[in-house]
Amino acid sequence: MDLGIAGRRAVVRLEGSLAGACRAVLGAEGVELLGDEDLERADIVVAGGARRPASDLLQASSDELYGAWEGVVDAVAAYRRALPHMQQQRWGRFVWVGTAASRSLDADQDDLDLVVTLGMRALHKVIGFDEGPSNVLANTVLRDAQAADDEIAAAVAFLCSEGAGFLTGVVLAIDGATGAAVF
Amino acid sequence: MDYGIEGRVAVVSGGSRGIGRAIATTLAGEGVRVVIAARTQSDLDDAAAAIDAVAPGHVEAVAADMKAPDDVARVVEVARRRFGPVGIAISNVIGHVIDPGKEGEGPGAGTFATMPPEEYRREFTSLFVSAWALAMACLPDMRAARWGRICNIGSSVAREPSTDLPHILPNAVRPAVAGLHRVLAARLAGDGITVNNILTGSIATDRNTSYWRWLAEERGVTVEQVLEGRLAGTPLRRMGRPEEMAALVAFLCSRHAARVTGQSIPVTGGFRTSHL
Repeated sequence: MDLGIAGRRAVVRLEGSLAGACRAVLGAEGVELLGDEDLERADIVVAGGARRPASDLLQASSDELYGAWEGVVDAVAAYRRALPHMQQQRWGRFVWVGTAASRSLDADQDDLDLVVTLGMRALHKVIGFDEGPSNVLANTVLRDAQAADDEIAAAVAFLCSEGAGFLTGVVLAIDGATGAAVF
Repeated sequence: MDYGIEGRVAVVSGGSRGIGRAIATTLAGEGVRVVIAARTQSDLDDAAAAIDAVAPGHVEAVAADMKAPDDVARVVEVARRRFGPVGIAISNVIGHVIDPGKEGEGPGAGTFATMPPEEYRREFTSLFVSAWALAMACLPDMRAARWGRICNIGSSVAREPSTDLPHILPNAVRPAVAGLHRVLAARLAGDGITVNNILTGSIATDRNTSYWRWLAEERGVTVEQVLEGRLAGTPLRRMGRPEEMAALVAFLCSRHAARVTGQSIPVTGGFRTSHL
């Protein structure tokens, strides 16, 4: 399917193989991929928490807590740089990739990313509300420990697409229905 | 009803005023020995005298910054020495100051488009690190006793963000704090420790009153008009009382609530519309 985003410009701020998968999918749709230095002219910003598998809030030091939370501070700073251009052209997409443990504890054990993801989920909801009138959308993708990079990248690309133009403040979980949470 | 907590030891942060003070008073009334901690000595003296009048010998006040893990550890140590092992930890630290002119510090209110990114770090310290540090400092005593009650005074924005108010900081951080308590509940259930999070709504405290005054000024309307709008969305059509927060906290601390854990419970008069 043509996602209708050819010619859009994206900054993908993810780690490791997931970053590569997202860039590949967006690039194949004709999206121009930029670096952090070009955030001021990005139409799409994709960001995510750092994965720390088996991280445990009972074992974490306060330095580790702050280290994880820097993911929020850093993403907010990046989003803020991109926002004026998106508002001005009345088109923008923010997509956050976080852990499905923020929906159900069974999905993963990455407590530090869970904390960050809950904050970012709420933040995206508020951005969706505040910036909806400017057609700047903000959504979240959740991954569990088993999710493949390609599956996550496909969800990210969909949320950037024209067809997803009425979705904002939404959470899309790529977790194979792990856990018992109704929502 | 006998809550079965007579003789337990509690630490209540932000215990000198408003909701924290009401919780300390209610727990002391149930025979709990309570250490209240806050920054302002005069407020602490005032609260301690009032609590001592209704529950003689059941309160100790310690001046401390409960956002700082070292201060938290010091307060818990005072509680241990004065009263014995700590079984109840109530975290109640305020976040961003909505009325900076009034309270003299803090980033104040703002939206996603206006709030400086670094303020998210400060709010994380106030709301998250403070609660985490208090729980961690009390945990060894609770585990040794195989009994503990951890309760956080959170906010209803953890479940449903305030989009009509410039609350981007609590909107972003409160859900993370709720998650912290959900995780702790799961990990500590086997130790006989319950962990819960209160979703606070509009409770009539000094801080809340000063906030409505500030908001009225911001919007160029009267305080009555602001309150009218707020209460229109509150099925019970009134503000809550600090004692009504304290009543839930005391119940959660009781022997009857031993299987209530990992919950985020709203005390909002029915405000907010989400199902869960």
